[in-house]
Amino acid sequence: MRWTAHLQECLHEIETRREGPLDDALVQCVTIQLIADKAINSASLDVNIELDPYFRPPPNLFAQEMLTQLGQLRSSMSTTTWQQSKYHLR
Amino acid sequence: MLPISDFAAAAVRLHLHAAEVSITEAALFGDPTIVRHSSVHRTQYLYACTQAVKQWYEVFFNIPVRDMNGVTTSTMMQMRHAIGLLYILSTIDEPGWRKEDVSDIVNLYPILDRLANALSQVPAAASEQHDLDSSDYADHWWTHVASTIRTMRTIWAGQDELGNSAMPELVSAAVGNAGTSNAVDGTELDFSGLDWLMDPTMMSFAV
Repeated sequence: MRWTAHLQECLHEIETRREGPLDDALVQCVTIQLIADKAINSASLDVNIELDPYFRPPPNLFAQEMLTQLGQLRSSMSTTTWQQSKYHLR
Repeated sequence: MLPISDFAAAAVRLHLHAAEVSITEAALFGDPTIVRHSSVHRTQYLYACTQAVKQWYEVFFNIPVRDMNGVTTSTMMQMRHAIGLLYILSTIDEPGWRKEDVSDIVNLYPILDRLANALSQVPAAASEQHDLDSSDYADHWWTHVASTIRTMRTIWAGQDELGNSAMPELVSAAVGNAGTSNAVDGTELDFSGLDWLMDPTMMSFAV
């Protein structure tokens, strides 16, 4: 499904209002998926570009950036109440 | 039964590790024999990918067997993907990659044994909670999945004894577009030994 400005707005609304106990989980899952999609799309572009392999950019130019974003997201999760469970992200 | 908050926490954490897998597994694509400045990064990503697979299974095995009947289809697709990837990481030959290290981080066969054992117990455990019809465990979907995993364990172990590897016969360089779900599912890459991913029981995850 293509991510649109409307979907971004909906995500922001859910994140801001937090009406249900699982809203945090939904927002985090969607955010994780968006980060993963960015990395995958960049990798797809890279491998489909027909360039001399010696001069081609690294297999996934954005991978490190995306992993860093996931790490930041992981850190930001520590304040949510449901993260107090035994599955909380460390 | 797990509180819903625990289920949500497990689902998010599984999703996060699956995303790490999707990002780092991109290193598997491309020609490993081409020496270029990124080759070191490639190996680093393969190790990071192995760690992510390990962490995914750590979370998954923390879910009580009685509650596995409630995991999402997405989680089962991630499980299927992680098995195939772990097999590739455990057997692929390429410069700079020590596949022996993989078993030190996360060993394929104990994972398969534990997985098959856990999944085979799901029908009985779930029926105790009245989540499943207990009339015929032997014919239940979970039982078929466990059986498929055991069969593949036997096949892969046999291939290992013959010294076969999962070196790609054709690297089509097709990175999946299904987010964290199915970047490598046997339909995009032709790795020997991954035919089982097309087994109808395993394919049902994708339905």
